[in-house]
Amino acid sequence: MQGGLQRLLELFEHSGPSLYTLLMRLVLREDVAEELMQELFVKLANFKGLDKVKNLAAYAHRTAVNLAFDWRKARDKDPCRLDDAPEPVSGFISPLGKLSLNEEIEDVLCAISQLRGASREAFVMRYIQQQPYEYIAGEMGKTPHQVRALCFKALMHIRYLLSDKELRYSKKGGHNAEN
Amino acid sequence: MPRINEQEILRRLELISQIEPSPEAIALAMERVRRVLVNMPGKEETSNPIEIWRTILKTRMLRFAAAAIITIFILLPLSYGAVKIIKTYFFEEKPVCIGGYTVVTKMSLSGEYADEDQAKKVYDEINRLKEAGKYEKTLVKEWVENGIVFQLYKVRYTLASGEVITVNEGSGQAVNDTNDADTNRPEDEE
Repeated sequence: MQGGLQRLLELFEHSGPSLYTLLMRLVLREDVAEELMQELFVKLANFKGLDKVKNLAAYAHRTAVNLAFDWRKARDKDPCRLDDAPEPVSGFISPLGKLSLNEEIEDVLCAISQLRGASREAFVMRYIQQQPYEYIAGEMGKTPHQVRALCFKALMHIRYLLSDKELRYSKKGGHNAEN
Repeated sequence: MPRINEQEILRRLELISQIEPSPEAIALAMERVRRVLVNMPGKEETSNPIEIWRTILKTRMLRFAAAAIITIFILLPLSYGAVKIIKTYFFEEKPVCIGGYTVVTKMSLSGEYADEDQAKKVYDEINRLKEAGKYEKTLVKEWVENGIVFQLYKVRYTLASGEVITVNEGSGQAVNDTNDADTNRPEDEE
C-alpha cells in the first residue's frame, strides 16, 4: 500500500494542476472543481487495487472525467440543491461566472456527458485537453486511427444531439421555451 | 439532418479548452488536497462486507447476478429439499350419506414417505385399525350447519411399527334424522 500511496503522491504533484484544470473545464465552477479534485484523490487513495494499476495517470484522468460528468448529471436531476454546494477554500470570485452562464458551452458539455466509455474519454482528451491523437492512443492503449474514429463518431453524435435540441427549441417557438 | 455544423461545435469546444483556472485557485486546491492526503489514515487491509455489498448493489448487472446466485444456490435447493421431504398423498374414502346428501371425501397423508406405495400401506393399516376399533378418539369441536350436526375429532392410531398417527376426522348427522346417518371424514394427518 505504501508504494501505491507514494505513486499517488507523485501523480498528485505532477498531474494535480492539469487534473484540476480538466475538472474546471468540465464543471465550469472553481468550488466544484476543488471539491471533485479532493474526492478524486481520496477515492484513488482508498482504492485497494492501486498497486496493480499500470498507468495511474490515465486511470486518474478517467476517474476525474467520470466524477465531473456524474456531478453534472446529479446537478441536472436536482438543480436546486444550493445548500449542498461546498464553500470553496480559495474564496475567489470565479472569473468563469459569466462563462458558466454561457448556454452554448453548457449544451456541448451536456451532450458530451451523454457519450459513453472510451468514446467520451477520447473525445475529452482530444477536444477539451487538446491532446494529439498519438498521445491519446498511448494513454488508452489503442492505435491513433482507432482514436480518430472514436472522436469522429463522438463528434457526429454530439452534433446530432445539439441539432435535435435546437430543433426542439425552434418548434416550441424560442430558445427559452424549454426553460 | 443535423442543423448545427461541425465548425460551430469545434468553436465551442475550443472555448472550453481555453478555460484556465487562476494560479491562486490551483495552488489553494492543491494545498487542500495535499493536506487531506497527508492526514489520511492507513488503509485497512481487511475487506469490509458492507462495502462489498454496497459495491454490488451499485451496479445493476451485479445486482441481477447476486440475485441469480442467491436463487440458484440457496432458494432452489431449499425449495427442492422441502418438496422432497414432505410429500402428500390423497386417498379417496368410501361415499357416505349425510342428511340426504352423498359425500365423497379424501384423506390426505403428509409425511416423509418414499413413494405412494408406502403411504398406501399406512393408509390401509389405519383403515384396518379403524375397522377393529383400535384408536383413541377425542372430540375437538361440534357445530350445526344447514340442519346437520357436525363433530370434529382427533383420532390417534398406533401403527404396528410403533408410529402414532393423528388424523382429523369429522362426522355429520341430520338433526331430524333418526337413522343416524353417520360418517367418518378423515381430513389430515398431523
